[in-house]
Amino acid sequence: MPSLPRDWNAFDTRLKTWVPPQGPFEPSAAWTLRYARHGLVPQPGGKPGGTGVGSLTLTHTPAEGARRLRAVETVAAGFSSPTYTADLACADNALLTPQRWTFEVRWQAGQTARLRPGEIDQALSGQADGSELVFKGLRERRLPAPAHWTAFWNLFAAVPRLPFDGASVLTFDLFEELDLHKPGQRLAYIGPQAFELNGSPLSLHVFEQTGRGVLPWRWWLDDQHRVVLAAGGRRAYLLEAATKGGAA
Amino acid sequence: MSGLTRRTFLASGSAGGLGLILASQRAPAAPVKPPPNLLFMHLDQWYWEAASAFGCAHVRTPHIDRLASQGTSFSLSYSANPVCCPARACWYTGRASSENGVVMNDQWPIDPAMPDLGQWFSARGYDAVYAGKWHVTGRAFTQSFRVLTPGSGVGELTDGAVSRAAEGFLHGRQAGDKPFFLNVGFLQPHDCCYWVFEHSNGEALTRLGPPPEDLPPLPANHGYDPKEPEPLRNRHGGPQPRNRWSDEHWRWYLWSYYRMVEMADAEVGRVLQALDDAGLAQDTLVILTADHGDGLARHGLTSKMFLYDEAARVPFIAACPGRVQAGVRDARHLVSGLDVAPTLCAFAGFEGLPKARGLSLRPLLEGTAGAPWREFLVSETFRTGRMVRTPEYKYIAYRNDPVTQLFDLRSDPGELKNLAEDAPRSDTVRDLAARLAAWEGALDLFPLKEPARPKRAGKRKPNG
Repeated sequence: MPSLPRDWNAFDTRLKTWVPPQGPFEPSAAWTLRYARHGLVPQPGGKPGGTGVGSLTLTHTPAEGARRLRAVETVAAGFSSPTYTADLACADNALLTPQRWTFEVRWQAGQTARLRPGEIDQALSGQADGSELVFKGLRERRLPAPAHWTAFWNLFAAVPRLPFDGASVLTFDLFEELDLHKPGQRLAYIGPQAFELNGSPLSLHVFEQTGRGVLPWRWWLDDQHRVVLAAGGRRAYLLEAATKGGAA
Repeated sequence: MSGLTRRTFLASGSAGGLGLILASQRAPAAPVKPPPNLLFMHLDQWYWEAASAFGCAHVRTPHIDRLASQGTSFSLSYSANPVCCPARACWYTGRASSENGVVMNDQWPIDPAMPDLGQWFSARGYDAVYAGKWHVTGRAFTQSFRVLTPGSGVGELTDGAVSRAAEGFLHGRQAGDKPFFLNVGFLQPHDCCYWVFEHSNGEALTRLGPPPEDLPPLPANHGYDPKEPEPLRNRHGGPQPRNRWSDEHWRWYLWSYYRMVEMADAEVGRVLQALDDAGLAQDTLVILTADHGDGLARHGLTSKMFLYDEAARVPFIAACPGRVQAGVRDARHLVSGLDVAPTLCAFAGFEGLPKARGLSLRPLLEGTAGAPWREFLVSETFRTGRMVRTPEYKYIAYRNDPVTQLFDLRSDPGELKNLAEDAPRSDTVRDLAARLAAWEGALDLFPLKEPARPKRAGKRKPNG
């Protein structure tokens, strides 16, 4: 059995108590998945390392002819850290392309920061309007909409809908946090990978994503098409717990 | 040196040229407009040419490009000390590392009596705020700024939070607020250090990724002179990437580095967009630069802490509509990290930090015809040595090695042919060595004690 892949090795002790999700998962049904946000920070000499740096909770709800996605991501950033909450109405297409969204940033700042309460909190929104993307904040601005695009969080719902075969390829522009434009993304099925974890075999399927402004992401899905680990350059999301359709 | 005071010479050396230059610094032109807001953004370990605006075909940086098109960029811009903490201490004190005390990362603290830009601007009516990486040994930035968020030591994990904090601050500005001095310290592309760690044992690249045709070629100066001085030879020995990496590793490193620059570009774009959305772009001087560069496979090196251009030379862009010339790529004037403080103070319209060694870039940015300028600058690193840069030459004197280097950068921009022993260049070597000696003799040295916090062996994070 092959040894633990590097992406997994970085979690070190955390994996000792990690239990792979069990039971059925239907990507198109309603589900909630919670991920640990983790830093992948190798040490000199190449030894994997890292630590927990927040969390991400995703709730997917089918709606008539559409999809709704709620993403709540907390970023550990010292004495002043943000939580992002995005509510997205998405097209029922392969990328779950956002059609309308609201996006809130709330900061939890200690006294050290000397910020007034709510001083840097924000409430933003946007929508797809024909061939344009409309961003609404202090001012409204419009950008030409790429032919195929989605937000990073949406990939957690889009990738599970892909079949495990070599023809599964998505090409798109990525908008991280709905505004950081990373064009030229290509996400493709690489194949199955099996290894041993805590004495038990673990068989997963791997997609890889490359493009402008990102280091290669690898998306690890279980047989039920559930994303159990997404790992980019220095950032990873490891499935922690699941409710309501995420796991039995 | 006759006719030049020590103070004058320092300003013209560390910061460059002959003393006449100081005229513009002593009597900055009275501002005809209200003092602008100030937005000082810096990336970490950003190679001087790594932006599409600067001609690099391997990276796409639309936001940095836009800023460059709206302002003036300098291609002969140098870090005052191409190491993280020292470079930053130079920005924020306006003093050379040997004077402010921060000569290396994390070990020697800043002179506690020396004011920094945060304190200086706060005391003069500005709202001095900070988001992101600070890393000035011995001084918490909360002593000098209101801190929106400290970020972390990994760019990919928190640069987004840093730009969000800056965006939130700009969106929250109200009419009647004090002018701001917003500092935004991004980590990227510094995460390239982790790429080196991750691949330090030279194991085969088994991961999938970009197709081979997308990998940048090795640079023309990927090789190195085996007779390099000791501090450089040491870098090529032992468990260094050079000895363990294949060409493919190096090319992957380059590819990955450029993706990290693109990450930083997106964050810079978010802050600039917020400035626009808040209606503040017309009233804000923006400066974007870096603490130091990265080896980026040149001379078979990664990282920093040496004086070849890839580490010492950094991008520098300034923009402010109506105040700074737009669309100018200045390839003539030598610019130092020590110039940041005098420039910000000059635009704000008040006196500079005490004994600041740099020069205000304001005359150059405003396009003042015939503004006199420095003839050379000095950059130093505690472990490696010091360099003198003129528009034509670079002279490097090394610590603990008598071997010196002289490069004619007009014919040898890759710094491959050491001319220091060439007889026809002996006058040049003598001249540059004399300039360096005079510069060193005029330093107001901060007495270094034993490191307050010796470096630990073993587990560590990469130094900035």
